Amino acid sequence: MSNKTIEIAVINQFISNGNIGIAIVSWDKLTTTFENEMFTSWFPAKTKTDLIVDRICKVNLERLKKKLGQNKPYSIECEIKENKRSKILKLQFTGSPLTEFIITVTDYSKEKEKDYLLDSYAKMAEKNRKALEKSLEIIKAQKEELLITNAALERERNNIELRALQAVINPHFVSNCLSSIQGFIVDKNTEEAVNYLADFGRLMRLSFEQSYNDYVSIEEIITLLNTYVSIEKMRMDNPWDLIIEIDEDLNVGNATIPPLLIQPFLENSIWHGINKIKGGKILLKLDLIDDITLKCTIEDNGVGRKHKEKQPITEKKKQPLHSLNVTNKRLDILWKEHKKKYKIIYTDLLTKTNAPTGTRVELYIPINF
Amino acid sequence: MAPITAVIIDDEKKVREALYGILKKYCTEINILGLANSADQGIQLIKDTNPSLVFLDVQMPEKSGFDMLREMKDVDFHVIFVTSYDKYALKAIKYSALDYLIKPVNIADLQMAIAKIEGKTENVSVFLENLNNPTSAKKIVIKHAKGIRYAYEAEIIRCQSDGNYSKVFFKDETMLFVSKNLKEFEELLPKETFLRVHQSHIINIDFVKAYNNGRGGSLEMHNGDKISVARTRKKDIIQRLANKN
Repeated sequence: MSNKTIEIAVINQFISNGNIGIAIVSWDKLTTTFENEMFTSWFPAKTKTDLIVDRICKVNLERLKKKLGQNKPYSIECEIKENKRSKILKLQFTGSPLTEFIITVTDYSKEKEKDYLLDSYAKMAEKNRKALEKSLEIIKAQKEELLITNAALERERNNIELRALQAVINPHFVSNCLSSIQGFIVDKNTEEAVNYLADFGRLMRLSFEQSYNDYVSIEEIITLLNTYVSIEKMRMDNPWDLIIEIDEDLNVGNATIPPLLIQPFLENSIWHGINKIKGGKILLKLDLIDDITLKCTIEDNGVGRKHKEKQPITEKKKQPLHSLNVTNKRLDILWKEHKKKYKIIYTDLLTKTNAPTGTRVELYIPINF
Repeated sequence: MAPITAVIIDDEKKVREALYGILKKYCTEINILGLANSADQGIQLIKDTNPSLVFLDVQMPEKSGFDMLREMKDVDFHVIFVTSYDKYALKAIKYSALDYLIKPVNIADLQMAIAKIEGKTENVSVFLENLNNPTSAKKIVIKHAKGIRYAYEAEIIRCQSDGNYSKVFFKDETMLFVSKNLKEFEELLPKETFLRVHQSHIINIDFVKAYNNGRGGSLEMHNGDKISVARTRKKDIIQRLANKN
């Protein structure tokens, strides 16, 4: 065997192991001078003298010659059938444009498949990314919406606290108290002016102070109510009394309730109950119902509720700052935190002959220890 | 000048006494005929004493001062409302250009209110008419340099600011120069009909003939006036005009 033959045999041996097809083609005959088994099986020849262009139909010889002349690679892709399955092969041409050129054939199906997989994976990823982006946008929008709702809730909470304060220190009350003080001054009634002013200032201070807290001791709440009552007594034509009864089990120093809830009901009893009668009496009773509930009863011996007052308060128009409205709303919010409904019971008190003899209001307030 | 006779109506004793004391001391031309502690007592007191001036509290528990006026058939007295701060009540009072004092009263304000009560009983009648009328048929009392004009809202085409003054243009092609700024008109006139379209303009939407597009655009009114629209209000105004048609 010649050296060349050995060489070819070695190469043949070497290359037949891999999945590579190799052929050497001479330019003058345009037939293979060498081809390995792989090449033959992929591009079978009917006769030994089959032209390469007949075996590989897609090859463009002119173009190949030109490329090789420019020392540039030339490659094409072919699709063949192998065991009824189609296969994509990649053919690379190298060599001389004059004597011989070499065809290296690789199975491109796997690569193609990989490409396809990569491609579809990329597409899927893109799709997922878009979907994610979209959900992210939705989440962002929802988050913003939530933030807005939270802000609105927070605002409402702050608002309701402010309005609770305004329910006590309302313009009507402030105006009239200050007018009364003017009256004492004009009459040179110095002592009364001084005391009234002191009570008024004290009520303002207590109301502001308590409005800053969620819960305030019952002791402090009673102090505020007493101050308020002494001012109202001075404003009214007829003398009247407030009687306070507190459950013996209740430690007024430790037990706390939300501030400024009782005063609007008391104010209502004063101005719409006992205002114009002689011998007016209001009873304020605090009873511990259970661990979280304080029952507050406000009963007066006044004129009773008129028909229009018996309507739900919300139906009265043009009273956006109606103090009882605010208080109802606060009680509603407070009991919602305990997952309970708030409850206020109005009872019209009647004599044996069905004449009105006052009103009883029972409200249930959350209590803390 | 005949002395002014007056009564005070307020549900709170101390407040009545305060006003009484201040009037006695600082408004000596006033002759106080009596005090009443409720609207009902007030009606009786007015009938009995026939005063030329009534100091009237607005917020009273049973019947308000407005309720009291509604109940009286003939109002031939002047009214000065004495009230706490109450947005709605004050709007109604200002609308009829009636006088009011906010408690606790200031002596100078009180003296000034008394000094200018001349010729106002008609304002009280208009005020009463307005209390009983639906929004659309309300009369606004406009005080101007040469007198008082009682105008239905529907007669006003537009208002234009002129410094601290405003020009009011009417359907009958008259114009009044009023010492009120545009903001005051904006608060008094109902928002359903009157739109603030520009820093210097309020227009009655019923008198808009066309909208001409532009940066803010402009409105053409029935009387031919062209009113520029502020850029920031453009969207809102187009919307309102669309809803109207």
